[in-house]
Amino acid sequence: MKKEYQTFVRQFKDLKEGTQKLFIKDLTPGPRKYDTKYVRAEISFNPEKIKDGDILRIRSESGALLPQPWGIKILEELSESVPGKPWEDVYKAMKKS
Amino acid sequence: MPVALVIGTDPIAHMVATAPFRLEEDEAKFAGALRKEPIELVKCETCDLLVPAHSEIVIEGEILTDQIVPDGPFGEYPGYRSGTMAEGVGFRVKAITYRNNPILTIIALGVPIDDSSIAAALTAGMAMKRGLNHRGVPVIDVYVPPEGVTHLIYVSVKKGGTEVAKEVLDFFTARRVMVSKVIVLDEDIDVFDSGQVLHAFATKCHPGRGIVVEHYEGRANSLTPCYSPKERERLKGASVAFDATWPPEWLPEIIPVKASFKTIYSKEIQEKVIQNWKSYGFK
Repeated sequence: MKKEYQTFVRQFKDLKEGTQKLFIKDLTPGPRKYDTKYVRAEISFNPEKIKDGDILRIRSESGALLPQPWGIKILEELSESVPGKPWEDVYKAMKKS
Repeated sequence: MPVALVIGTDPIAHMVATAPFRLEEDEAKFAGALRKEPIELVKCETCDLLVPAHSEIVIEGEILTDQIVPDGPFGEYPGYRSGTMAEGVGFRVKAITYRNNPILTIIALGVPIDDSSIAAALTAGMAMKRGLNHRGVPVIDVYVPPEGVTHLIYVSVKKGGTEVAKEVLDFFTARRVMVSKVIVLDEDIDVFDSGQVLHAFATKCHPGRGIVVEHYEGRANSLTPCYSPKERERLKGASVAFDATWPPEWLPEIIPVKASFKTIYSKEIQEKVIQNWKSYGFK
């Protein structure tokens, strides 16, 4: 049984195939549903291209769900947090103005 | 930095927690004043922070200032699923204390009216009125209609006009901008009555010269649904003030008189009609 994960992008075109580092949420029903993981994973728009892969559902910034899910194979689970300044994305946008 | 998250306490304390306060101000005292009884506080188990004693659950821990943890996205208060995973704040839990069989209270944000929009109507409106007063705007009252999800605000002022509308807009756009539309009204309009506000907006806001717009970048609210992906990324946006007040330079003789029961009938006729109301067959 394939597991299902979800990730979020601003626009669907932002997601690239191949080996990527991305945050995913585990959609497996149960108390750990939506558990967030930071992973290095191989992803493809064609789930059949990824041997022993799982399902990756993708939502845009506006909440729209991509009708066709991608395939994902987690290669490595990374640290649940990454070094940096919280809300750095907001501060960067503010500095640019 | 130590932090304590309080889940399920006195409803007034939760309500007050949604209001903006300065660092030196004491929210617990304010909540106590509103409920006319002090909020009993106890010290946390792992730090000196004080929390309401009768909370259902308290989660103690520390904020990680040098780590990013993905945050969201959620169904958000504007009423849409919007936003990406943001570079959020990490919180390391050190202790969880709770009552026996605790109740986990939650908020389900979304299309208004919900908990958030009602809380904002009470507490954000109060803070905005205080801020406008502090800035010298001749404010009478402020209402944050729940359906407007803090994007739309009604402000009534003692003296209106374009300059005052600009001052009001300046207040709302000075820092990070959470408000995109403000209707500025004369003091005779009850801002808590959306019917009166819409009537004033429809009839008194000049479509050409009654609209003041300010554009900005780097401080817009990215959860504004009408912004494009590019605008959200750059925190680029605009706010508008709709001036629904009579121009202050107009002489009283050219200000249209309202055709209402209270304005066009004599006091004697008004009293007579009110006295005889039931005899007309009305309830």
